[in-house]
Amino acid sequence: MRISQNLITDSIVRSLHQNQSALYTAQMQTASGKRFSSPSEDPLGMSRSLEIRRELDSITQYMRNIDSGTALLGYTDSLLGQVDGILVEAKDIALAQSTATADPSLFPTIAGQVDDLIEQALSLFNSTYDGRYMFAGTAGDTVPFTREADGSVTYRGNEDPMDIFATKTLAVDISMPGSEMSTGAPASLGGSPSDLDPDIDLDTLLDTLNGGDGVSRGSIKITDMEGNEALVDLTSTETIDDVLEAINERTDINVSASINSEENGIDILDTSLNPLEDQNLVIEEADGGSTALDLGILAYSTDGLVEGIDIDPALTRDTPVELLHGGDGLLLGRVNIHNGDYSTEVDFFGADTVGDLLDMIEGSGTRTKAEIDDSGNSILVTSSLADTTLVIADLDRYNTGHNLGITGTAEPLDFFEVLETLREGLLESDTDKIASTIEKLNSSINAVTSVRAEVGTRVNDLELAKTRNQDAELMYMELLSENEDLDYADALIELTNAQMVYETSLAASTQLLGISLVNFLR
Amino acid sequence: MGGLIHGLNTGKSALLHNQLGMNVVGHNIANASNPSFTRQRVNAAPAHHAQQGNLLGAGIYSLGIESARGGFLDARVREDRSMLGYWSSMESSLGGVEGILAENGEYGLSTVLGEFWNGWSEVASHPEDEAVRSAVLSAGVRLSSTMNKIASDLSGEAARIEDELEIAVAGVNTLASRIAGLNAQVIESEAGGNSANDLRDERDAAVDQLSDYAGVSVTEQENGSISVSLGGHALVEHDSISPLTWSTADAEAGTGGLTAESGETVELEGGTLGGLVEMASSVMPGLRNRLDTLAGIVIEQVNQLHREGYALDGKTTGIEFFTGNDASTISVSAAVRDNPSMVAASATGSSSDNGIANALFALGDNPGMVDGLSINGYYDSFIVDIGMALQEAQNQVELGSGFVSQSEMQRQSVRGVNLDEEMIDLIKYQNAYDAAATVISTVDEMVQSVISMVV
Repeated sequence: MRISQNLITDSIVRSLHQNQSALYTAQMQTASGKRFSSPSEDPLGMSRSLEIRRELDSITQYMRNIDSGTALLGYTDSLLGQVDGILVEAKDIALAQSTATADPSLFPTIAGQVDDLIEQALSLFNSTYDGRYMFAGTAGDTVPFTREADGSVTYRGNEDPMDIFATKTLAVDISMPGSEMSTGAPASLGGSPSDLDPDIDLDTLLDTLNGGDGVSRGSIKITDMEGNEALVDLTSTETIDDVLEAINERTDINVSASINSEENGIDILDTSLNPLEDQNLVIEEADGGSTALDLGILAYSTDGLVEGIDIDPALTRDTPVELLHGGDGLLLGRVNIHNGDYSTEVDFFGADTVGDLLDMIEGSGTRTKAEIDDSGNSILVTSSLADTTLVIADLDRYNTGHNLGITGTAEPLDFFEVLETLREGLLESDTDKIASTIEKLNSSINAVTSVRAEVGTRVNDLELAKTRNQDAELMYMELLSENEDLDYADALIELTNAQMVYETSLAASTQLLGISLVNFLR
Repeated sequence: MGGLIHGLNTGKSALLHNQLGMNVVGHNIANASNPSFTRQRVNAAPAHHAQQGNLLGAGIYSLGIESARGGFLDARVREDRSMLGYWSSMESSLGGVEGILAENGEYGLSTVLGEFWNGWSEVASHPEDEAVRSAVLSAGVRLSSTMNKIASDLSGEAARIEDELEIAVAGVNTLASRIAGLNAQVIESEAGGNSANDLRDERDAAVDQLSDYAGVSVTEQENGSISVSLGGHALVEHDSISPLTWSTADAEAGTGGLTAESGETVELEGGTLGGLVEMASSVMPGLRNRLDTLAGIVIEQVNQLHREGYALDGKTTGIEFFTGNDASTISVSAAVRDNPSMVAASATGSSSDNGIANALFALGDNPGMVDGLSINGYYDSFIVDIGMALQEAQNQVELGSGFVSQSEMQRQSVRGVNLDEEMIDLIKYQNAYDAAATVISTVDEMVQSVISMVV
């Protein structure tokens, strides 16, 4: 190819330009530490970055929400703790003043103390936080509790939730309407002490045993009457059947395990043909745990039979109805549920499990909530409405409602009313009236406790969400870094390379530009 | 038989020819760095005398000076230059737009938009806190003023493009006049039969420059003039031109744009002018439209929710948060701007209710708001599209400058001056000149001899 003077200079300029530009890009990247800093350099990468940054900003906001929610709930809990203290004090007064030894001449003074307690409770419930009344639901500008001239206390807030977002999908209600624990602890029936005492069967979960405390899983050691010893590993057992099988499948010891005749524990029978003298059947813990104890079989026997004790399974939604009441089961008939303006008949016929019973009650349309109570032994039916009277009665001879321990009449609880009754009782020197408040004060204390438990649950939800957010934040940071951060090793190699190429082309250019025939003539 | 005088004449023709040759070499060397220059050569033929049936060499005579042209290479260079021109003007305009959005992932509208949505979540956490309400208001002000600024910067960029268009159209018309003028000069100079090499070079250079503005098609006429047309529009015919005019395009009214004197719209193929027309009549209005759509949907959706909500007093409702209807007019409404308590966070009227605040917080990510995308997603796609268009332009510029330098190289390879070549020619002519001079001085000696014989 023929080369012209312009061609040489043009191509030198062009290649210098190119190499310089490559060097510049490499330098910019190394200096900023980013693969790109404008959309055109990597449009999709930039879009990804925008998205990730938005997620990160949202997470920052969620964390702020969580912090302020946690602070508010923490404050709520401490106020409720003080309310609890007031109720306990009132209960002590009621207990002390309802005895025969109480001195009626002190009643007016003590009534004054109760009056102070009411005022303290009022001021606690009328506390503000962040410029709003915290126990008024969403009516934050309304004083939630006012004491009328006749001593009654009216709730003026509402029960609406105040949700904050703790993650993209998790909204946590951070408001605790005062009505829930004061004027309107809703009516409820059932619950302890009625015990439905279910039996065990092969499918009973170990976690439900011992009133729901479950069984700590470990190994147990069994020694039979021939002196054979075996370690039985029960760490991965789930049901009673698993436990029995784990023991029965051992051929190195002569024992047989089964559910006892009362169907509330496990029996272990020695089947040795040649028992040694003075050799007992011994069941003990193998690893210092409490597996055998929890299964009710930590024992030894001289006559070859360890009779397990009652391992008290808790109710679960899956517990079959026929296992209730020590295996007697119960007859399924009809009850009437009456809750405020709602009234309907529920036919339990056809229910197989406890869960079926609960669903039938909740599905009755009477605005009631049915659940297994905290003791794990009984069913609790609660009105979902704050101020209705709940009545449950059997309609036929099967007495199903009675046998489930849920019949009766329950009034909603108003602890200001209880405190007022106590005060009146003291003023009227009516010890019966004073005594009548003790049980109600207990219920009020329970109501406050359960609300505090609810507060705790929400705080836990927030804490959990915080952890999840922190994980997500970390993940997004990594994604962002992966997406837009420079691989320095690669980038530096590229930079060095670009620099070398540029220098080489500069050197080559100077050489090339200097050459001409003109220099060699003459 | 030729006489001695014939020998002198032969020598003279050689002296003249080699002198001309050296002049041409000198001209070539002088123009070695002139990119539009086409190297020239002296064409010559031996001279003869017919004498007694024999042809007797009578030296040399110069046929003329010729340029080393390659016509189709010119066309290729121009085609490549107009493509490069098109993408360069797209690159520079889109680069301006990218700069206006200033979206590097950390600042820019995306961040401001995010702060606005998050502000509502903060209000949801503290519905009765004035400071937090003020914060969401200032986030709203920041959002609307950022949108206003982007809108006005886009208008500024559009105006700048219009200015460039005016200048480019003027440039095209000036070049057209120059070509027409050169056409006339070429015809005049070549009437005698000589090739007007330097005038043609100048004319070619003008057409080359014109090809930067738009794709050209050139036809050479028999009389040596060229006809130049741009996208079907005959710009130069002989020594007359038909100039272009630009008026701001109004797509709705179907008026304006690039027109000829006849009023006919001229559609260009490539070139910086083509790129500017594309930017002014299609790209910029499209971008502006998308920004306005974004602003419009933010205004509409935020207002729709906000109107449903209640102010802190629990009674006032139906309040607009934003006023305006596009990116240049969006603004936080006077009703809320200085009254944080008028921010409607409550869905029920209860002062601590935060239903509306939560709904506004979630608004940015609600799917299916506009073109099947969420508001945030719509903005992302806006950024991605601008980025992609600019990236495409940058790639095309890189590619195009490769093409241009390739075809320019080929053309230079044919017509450019090589100094080594010229030096060799110079020596050749010098030696030939010296030799011819020796011939003359020898003939002169011979003539002296003849004279002294006589004397």
